[in-house]
Amino acid sequence: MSWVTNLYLQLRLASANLAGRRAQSAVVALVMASEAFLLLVGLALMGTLDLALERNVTATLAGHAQIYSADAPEALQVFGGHQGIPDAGVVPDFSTVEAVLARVPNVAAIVPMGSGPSFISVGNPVERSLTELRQAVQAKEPSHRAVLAEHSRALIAYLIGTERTSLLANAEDPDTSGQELDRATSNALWEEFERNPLDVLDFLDNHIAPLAGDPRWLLFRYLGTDLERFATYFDRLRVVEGTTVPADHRGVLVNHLYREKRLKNPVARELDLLAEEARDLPADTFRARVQGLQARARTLLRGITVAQRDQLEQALATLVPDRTGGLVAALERFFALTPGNIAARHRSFYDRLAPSLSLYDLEVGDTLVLHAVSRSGFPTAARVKVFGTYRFDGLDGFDAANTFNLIDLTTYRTLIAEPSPDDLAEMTALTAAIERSHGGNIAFDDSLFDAPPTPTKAPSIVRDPVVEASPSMPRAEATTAAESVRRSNPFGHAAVILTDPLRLADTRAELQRAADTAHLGLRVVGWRDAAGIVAQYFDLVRIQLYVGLTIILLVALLIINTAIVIAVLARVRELGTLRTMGCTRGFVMASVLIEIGVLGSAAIATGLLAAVGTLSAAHAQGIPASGNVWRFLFGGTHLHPDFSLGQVGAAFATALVLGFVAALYPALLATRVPPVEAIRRGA
Amino acid sequence: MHAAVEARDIVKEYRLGKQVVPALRGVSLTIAHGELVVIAGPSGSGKTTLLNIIGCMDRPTRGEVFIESEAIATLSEKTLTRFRLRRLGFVFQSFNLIPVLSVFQNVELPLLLQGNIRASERRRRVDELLEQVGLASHRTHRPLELSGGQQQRVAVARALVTRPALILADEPTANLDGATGAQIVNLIGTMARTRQTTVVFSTHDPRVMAKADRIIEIADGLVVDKNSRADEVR
Repeated sequence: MSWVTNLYLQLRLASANLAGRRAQSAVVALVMASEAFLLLVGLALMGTLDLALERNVTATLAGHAQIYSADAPEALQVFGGHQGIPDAGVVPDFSTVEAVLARVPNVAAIVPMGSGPSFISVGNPVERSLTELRQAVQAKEPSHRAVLAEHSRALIAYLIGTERTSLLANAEDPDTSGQELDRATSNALWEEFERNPLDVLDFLDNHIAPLAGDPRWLLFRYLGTDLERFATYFDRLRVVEGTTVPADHRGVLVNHLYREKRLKNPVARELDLLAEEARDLPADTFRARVQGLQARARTLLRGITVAQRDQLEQALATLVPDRTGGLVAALERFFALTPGNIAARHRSFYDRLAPSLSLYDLEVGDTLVLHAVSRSGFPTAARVKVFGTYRFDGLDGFDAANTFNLIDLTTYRTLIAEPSPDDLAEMTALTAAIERSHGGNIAFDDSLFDAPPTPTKAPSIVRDPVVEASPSMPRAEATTAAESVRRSNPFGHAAVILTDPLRLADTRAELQRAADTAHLGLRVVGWRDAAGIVAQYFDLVRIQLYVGLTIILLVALLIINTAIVIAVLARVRELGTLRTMGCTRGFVMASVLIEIGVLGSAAIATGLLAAVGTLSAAHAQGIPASGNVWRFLFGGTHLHPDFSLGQVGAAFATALVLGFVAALYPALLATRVPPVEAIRRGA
Repeated sequence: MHAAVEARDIVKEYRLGKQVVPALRGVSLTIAHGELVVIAGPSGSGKTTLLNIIGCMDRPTRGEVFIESEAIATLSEKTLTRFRLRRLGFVFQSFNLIPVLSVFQNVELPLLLQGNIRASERRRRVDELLEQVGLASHRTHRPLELSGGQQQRVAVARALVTRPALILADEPTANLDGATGAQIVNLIGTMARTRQTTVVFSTHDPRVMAKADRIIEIADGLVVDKNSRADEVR
């Protein structure tokens, strides 16, 4: 029998068999169609998620590859690791590295970076207000001074009016403290301020501000970089408020989410969270949290001026018509939230009330002092202006990318710098002078190496004892050019941006060769390795998805196998008859396999068509991400799955091969049916 | 002139665990060309085993079988398969038609398996046979749409379509009523004689025996009479 006749006969038998056993064929077809559907959807989702991860990682911090010191004590993890930010060492000079590596083909840019922990102090609004007032007094700005004086006076009055009892209960000498509180709120003091402002400010700074509470020290992770290049090559960066840091300026871009989580008024933050979680919270929990919110509502009034109070009262009057009980009572009524009104109240809070409130411990335009420790253990500090806040587009759920605040390279180098010989000489002289004035030894080293340093009095955002004790510290907005000349050009690691990211493996190898040839002492890693725990986390999710898909496929395989075994067992007499009539074992095996091939091809094509339709609709509409984890995995609020013809082909081939695998055992079973079964079964 | 079938001292033993069960204990017989022979005997006498061996579906433990002078006991499985396809035709007790194929397709199937016959020739032969068995008007029907007698007539047409030298029919009337059974036996007899085809029945149906040229009686795995007539069979 020629193969054409054979195939013709097999196809005729297969189609006749399939048509003759509709129910069984329908079950196998349904399973194979579902299998193909899931395969293509799974492949498309994994491909899209993979691309999303690549975009998340490469467009935020990692670039396509990273370079860092070959002698680094720990492997680089640009997003940090389980134990914080790993020590990836320091490379001495960026210019040399760039001169060598920028020449490697396919390298578009190299962006120097360096990350580490620093600390900032926040949380004493009275001290902050007085500092601003002191600056206005020193700058001889009468109009600004008048506004700030009114602000400070209102703030102190509010503090004493609401907290007097607890302040006196905690005081060492309640009588003296009581007199000081009376004096702070008296007209006489503020009349004296007009004549002798600095003395009054000293009194308020030393006797009243400390009563407003100890400052909080906050971890402030920084990523020092060439901010101009960073903004050019990491296109997910968006300035939310303020501006980018101008070229040749010291400055910081505070991460928007960090500010929201760490530096926002707790009442406003809780309102945000409650609005987000309201739908999922049990009624009791929701009620308890609303009560907590009402109890703390008055803290929103801290630090606002009389004019702001008036504006707030007016706004509240339109939102909460019941005017009994004053401003605090009106606020409490505003925060009488229910699942039904919380969305509207949340909007009103930001539209109507927030303009009259001071919601953040840190505002754009403030000056921050970053406290860090150099690599050899010297405490360092740098004063920088907050030029703005930033976020990475679509990555609000990606915590790892939102832990860093961006600072300029000069500030970074200040924070990691070893003291120069001049610095050391100055410190030695200072130590000797202090010892002389104290008439003996003091534990000066302790004050140097304690991190964060213990200030002699409560520090604030702009006034800081460490800063004040460091005469060499540059002004917050000083241009960086002069310092760059004095210092070397170190960096911690650098992102390599490629023209064609698909050639990463080759370019990485070439970069490593170039670095080795020039004895730069560098290690080059791809973005996946540099991403560290982020990539590991994604791999974990991917493994889970693949395991899920594999289980589904195995179950499908089992169902197909069972259905075909049943079909073969039902056909034993028929197969025996065919063998009696002269069909070979090969013919019988091919008959079963061709049958699954014919049925499978049609079913798989149908399943793939359904998958293509589903994916196209999902691509157009987007699959919404429910929660931060999914926002991270999707690389945004929605996932728009893509698929390629290659994936369609792969899904078709895989589903068909699985069908054949499932049919192999039944086909072998069929070949073992001896011709004599035709007579035996017929008897 | 060679015999159509010649069996020499055939022994067939089956193993049931450690026990050896003899089915045939030295059967020898000769069937001439064009002869219509019945192998008769009670249940368990070994007649189906003998038919399986003559039909190349089973191999003897010992002994030799020649069909059309071909020693089939030594042939490979592949050759035996080809031999069955080209030289033998089968009619079964339960008709054994392929249920998903039409009447025409069932009869055409052996010709397709032979592979070297043109479509027009296949159609001509199948139509001719269906005409002869009286089922030309049922060519598109499925087997389950036919009566038992009609199905067996299709099976007869299928057995004859390749023009085999030997037709083996295992209890062809067992599932049919008396009148239909008689019709089938007449049909096989007539067509075989017309085509000079040798036919071997395995049966204990007296109507079949009555049509046979010769009856070979088997009991306990041995041939007890090679030349009985229908009225002599116990």
